[in-house]
Amino acid sequence: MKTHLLMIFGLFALVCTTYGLQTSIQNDKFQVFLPTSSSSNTYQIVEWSTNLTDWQSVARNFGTTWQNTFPHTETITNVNGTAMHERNLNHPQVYYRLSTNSVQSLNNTNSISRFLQQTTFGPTLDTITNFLGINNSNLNDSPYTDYANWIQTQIDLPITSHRAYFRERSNPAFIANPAATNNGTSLYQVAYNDDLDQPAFNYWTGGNNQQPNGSGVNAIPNYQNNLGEISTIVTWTSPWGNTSYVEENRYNDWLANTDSTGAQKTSNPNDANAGGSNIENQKKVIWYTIAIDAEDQLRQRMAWALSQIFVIGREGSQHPQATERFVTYYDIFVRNAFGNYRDILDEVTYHPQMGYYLTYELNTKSGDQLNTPDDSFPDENYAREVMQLFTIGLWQLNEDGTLKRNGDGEEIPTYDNEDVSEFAKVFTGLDKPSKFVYVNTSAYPNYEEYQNQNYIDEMRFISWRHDYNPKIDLYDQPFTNQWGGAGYEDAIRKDIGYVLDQLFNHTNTPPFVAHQLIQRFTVSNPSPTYISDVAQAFKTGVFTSGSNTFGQSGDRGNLEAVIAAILLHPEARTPSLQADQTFGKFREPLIKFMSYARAFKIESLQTYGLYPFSNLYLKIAQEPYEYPNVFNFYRPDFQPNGPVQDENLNAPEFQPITDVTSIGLPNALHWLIYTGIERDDDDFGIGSKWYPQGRLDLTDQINIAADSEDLIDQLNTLVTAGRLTQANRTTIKNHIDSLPAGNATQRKTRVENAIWLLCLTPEFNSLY
Amino acid sequence: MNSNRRSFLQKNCSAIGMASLYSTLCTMRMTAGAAMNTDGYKAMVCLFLNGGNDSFNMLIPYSQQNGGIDGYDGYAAARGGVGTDANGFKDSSLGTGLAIDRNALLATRLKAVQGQPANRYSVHPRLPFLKTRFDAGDLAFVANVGSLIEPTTITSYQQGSANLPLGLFSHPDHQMHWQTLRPQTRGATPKGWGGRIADIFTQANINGKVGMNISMAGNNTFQTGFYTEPYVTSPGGPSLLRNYDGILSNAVNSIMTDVYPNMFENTYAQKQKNAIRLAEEFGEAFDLASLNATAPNTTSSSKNKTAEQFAGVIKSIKAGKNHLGMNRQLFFVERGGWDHHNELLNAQGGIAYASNPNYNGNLEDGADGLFYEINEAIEYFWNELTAANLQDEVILFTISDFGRTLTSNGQGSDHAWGGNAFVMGGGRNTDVTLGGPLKGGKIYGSYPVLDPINNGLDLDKHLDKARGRVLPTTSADAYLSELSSWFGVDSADLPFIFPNCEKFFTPAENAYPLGMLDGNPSGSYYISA
Repeated sequence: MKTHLLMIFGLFALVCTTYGLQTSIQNDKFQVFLPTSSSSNTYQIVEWSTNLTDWQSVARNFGTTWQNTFPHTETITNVNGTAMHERNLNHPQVYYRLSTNSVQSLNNTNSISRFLQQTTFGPTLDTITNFLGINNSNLNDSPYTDYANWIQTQIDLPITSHRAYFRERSNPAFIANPAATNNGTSLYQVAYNDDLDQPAFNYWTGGNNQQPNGSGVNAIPNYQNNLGEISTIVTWTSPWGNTSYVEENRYNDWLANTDSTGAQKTSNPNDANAGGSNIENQKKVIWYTIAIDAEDQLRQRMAWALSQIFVIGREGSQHPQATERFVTYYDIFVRNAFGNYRDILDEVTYHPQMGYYLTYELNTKSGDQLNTPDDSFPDENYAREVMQLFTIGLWQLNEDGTLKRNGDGEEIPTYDNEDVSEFAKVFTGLDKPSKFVYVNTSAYPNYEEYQNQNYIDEMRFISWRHDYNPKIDLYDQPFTNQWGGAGYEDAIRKDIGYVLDQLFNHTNTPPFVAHQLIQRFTVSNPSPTYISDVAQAFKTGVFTSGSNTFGQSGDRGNLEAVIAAILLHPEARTPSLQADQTFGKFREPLIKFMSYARAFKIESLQTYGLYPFSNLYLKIAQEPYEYPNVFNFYRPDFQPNGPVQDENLNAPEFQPITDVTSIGLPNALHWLIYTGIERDDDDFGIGSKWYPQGRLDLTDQINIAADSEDLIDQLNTLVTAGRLTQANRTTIKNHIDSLPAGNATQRKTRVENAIWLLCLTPEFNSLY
Repeated sequence: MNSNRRSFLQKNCSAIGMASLYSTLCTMRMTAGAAMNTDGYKAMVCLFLNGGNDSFNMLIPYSQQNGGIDGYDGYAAARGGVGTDANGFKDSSLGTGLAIDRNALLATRLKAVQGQPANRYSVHPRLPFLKTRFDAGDLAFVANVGSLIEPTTITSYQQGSANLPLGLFSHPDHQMHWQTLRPQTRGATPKGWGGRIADIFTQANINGKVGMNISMAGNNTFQTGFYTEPYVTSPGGPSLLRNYDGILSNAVNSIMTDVYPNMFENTYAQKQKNAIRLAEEFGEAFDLASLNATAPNTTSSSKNKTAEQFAGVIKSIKAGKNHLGMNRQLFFVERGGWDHHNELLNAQGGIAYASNPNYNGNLEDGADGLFYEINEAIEYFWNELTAANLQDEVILFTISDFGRTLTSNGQGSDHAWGGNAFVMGGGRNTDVTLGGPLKGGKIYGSYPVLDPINNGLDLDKHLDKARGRVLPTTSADAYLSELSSWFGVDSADLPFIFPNCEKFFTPAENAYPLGMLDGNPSGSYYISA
């Protein structure tokens, strides 16, 4: 890298204008003219320093235009086609330097692998080689048509609903019916049997197995499943006496797999946990299986990202051992991954799991003479978090995500505690829905029976608990929602809708949401330009890239436009940014773990297509449904010590990284690589059973393992998207070469050791 | 002093946002090195009650209130009435009140105190061990403590003339305040006060391989300094990296010691290298340490997660003191689940299982309540300390996000501000040369007068009369400075550790603002913020 130094000494400036940076002094301001550059392989950065030791970025150019950067977000102006940065001469002295670097453009396979690391739960050899555009020499050039086409294809794929998956696996009479609606919202009422016009079964999760139960079982001993197959339901009694009903067609091999006494060797496959006593794991196994196998990868990644904003943490959630209420909640993000943010706000607010978690279930107005005394007040929990975490955040933002400041240079809060107390009155009068009544199926067909409570359907309204008094909004104006005689339910909906609309339409919401979603997919420290562009897609509802149009103009909050804007932004795509040491992100541990399962073709053994990982949170600090609290696994502004801290930048995914979990991830991957999903007696492994339930298929690597160069080439693309340094390449190659390759077993050891070393490389753990 | 350290101090004295006064201090530190007392062995253990403990049901007025109504009656009225039966278990038929029945408080009534509005206080009926230690002089409370920037009155609060902590009543902000003690700055950039102590305690643990700060509960800002980070371990000790032997360990070492083109890569490599090395070094010493008794199970099947962490602390103290040559250690233990919006009385106090004639399980009364777990864990920790004769060298203290509203949400309470904390350690006898450091059996700070009946609700302290949010009267700075002075922080360094502390007291004149650990047997123990 070439570096030019420029010094400026404040008011008493001795200005050197050598080394390429043109400067001048005008109107008591020191002006630095930023040179133009042309190539997308060239990266330029202007930094300043007070001590010539620590340099912080002021502006950068990775293609055609200069833009400012965090943390300083200095203004860059454009004067007659030349970008310029100005500094008041009475500000403290700083030194400037300009650095220029060129990078070798990534080849197409590595570019695609990198893209798939951003957008899926991990690239595979197939998804790389089948990527349309792999031979396009303009793959990485704006408008990134091949990437845009891939995104469009992903958006168009059928939705893999977690709830449908659960129903299908737990209910032999499953019939998928995505069109069924409840209160106008498709909720995947998949248990409903249209032929019989009744729900097939209700569900029971009280024991070791997920079982279909109830009169419906007897009513349809033979049925046609959603694959068009005629099946017979047979009765199976577990060793501990529970009776299950098992679909014969689908599980013939399981039924045949008996020991000498005629008992099945493995557990009931209808149990998504594959026989583990840990019912709680069921929803997670569904998540793993979908993350690894589902085609709609981008949708699943978006759902995972959204679920990290609208968090229901395990601690304090109702019945964490249940399944269907959690997958129903999660499906809000699966269904609306490319839908509208406002719809998500609505569905989340009315979901009884959230009502329980953020404690507005049965929230009651103050001073109801009959039921609550004057000194009891509505709970403020949801009123606070819906603002702080789901929509506007704590501080007023400009559209580019920078902080607004008042005349004294201070940050400006978005709300105060009076607003919270006021909005608390709005979120009153909601309760979990009525419990399922079997005969009255049309009203509440969705029901996982657990302690006789329904935490699945939309919350219901209780008039006397709601506060109908006039209320004041964020801008100290009276609410303008006029109810007018449509009944209490309509009145409460309008009250809540007024608040949600106000938050959704707040100027903070687009940059607030944009910033966090960008962090989940591409970079931890998006530039103001990047945030602004994505926020613009949120605002306008549309994003256009070449001939591809995502979203719909005028549809504020359209997430199809948002995700396209995130992934097709030059900041996410331009290769030269790799020369910026602050670029990119640290990857989520769960995504890294899933990426190994995907890249190395994990096979499900004796568990009928499921991947029953167990207790990953304890090992890698991340697990589906194991959000530690409402603030997610990490905060957006987390700063680890070291270079990130020195640059005053953020790296959220380092927050859960400790001396324990940093060893936990490679140790968990060690199990996956060398043993598979299984537990052993000297450790807990990553499964819950003593027989193998899943194992990597390393054939594609073993086949080429005799030649260490070939092997590392393939792995460098598959695991590290071409980032592997020459030094680490040599380290790993030397190790492989020290091992024999005479037979398949020896070649397998070569592969296992190579991919275990790779999982410890910084290149695998980061993404840039 | 090496140049790295000088550069660190130069950079971070400004990063912490200090005015020139502090720059002088920083310069002084750089040239002279911090003065500190690191003789002997001392440890502090922070028990963080994550979520905002409703501590006005932990420490409860029991009898006469000076010049007002009966202390208990005022408490019961402020909490909206009695909500429990005579054993302290929730009685749903009683409505929405959050007060514990007075009869339930008799057995946990503390010995008489002076200088507080009431002359008798009780602890929650599920916290009997706190009473035992308090009466024996090994435990003290700090009343109505909270994060502040400067002395704040209800008038200055209402007029907007006070500098207020940013993000009042929000969990992550208040949690950060308690950790950074820099509530005028958002987020973690000022670093934690425990980390800052480690930054300047360069002479402590000079032979130690592991740093001063050890966490049983994951990363935290409190123990992260500009220069130092906590060692995070599990209560059972560190796990070693698998496969880290022979030729593979050479390859791993080579990967971890390289320099990479990207800051995330370099951050990762540095952390990973340390974690691998420390797991081996610390694990060896940890395994040499033993416990007097294993951590209790709250029930036959469920572990007491707080006690489990204390067991890890005990082993780490023994490992540090006896095997790693450490003389100062600061531990972080965390118990979450205190955000009791929805349900307070059962959540803190548990359910009366055993006394229900229809119950045939194995749970004791209250065993599913958080206070039962804390009580059992504290008792276990104390017994482990005394068995190893460590009680005079170790101070346990609690922090929590904030106190909660005195009034009810129906079944629970909401985010508020001032709350009550406790400190446990070997009690001081009247002869200062004997016993432990703590002047226990006292309530420090200023418990608010609770008297809504006569409208005397100590209005100058209640910033929100309707909801009963109490303005803290003792600053977190005063509370934690007291502990840090005992730990060995020089009074001249207190303003570096607690940047606002000089607003509340003058360190050079009295580095023990509460008089709780000052070594003076007759010193004042009452201070108002």
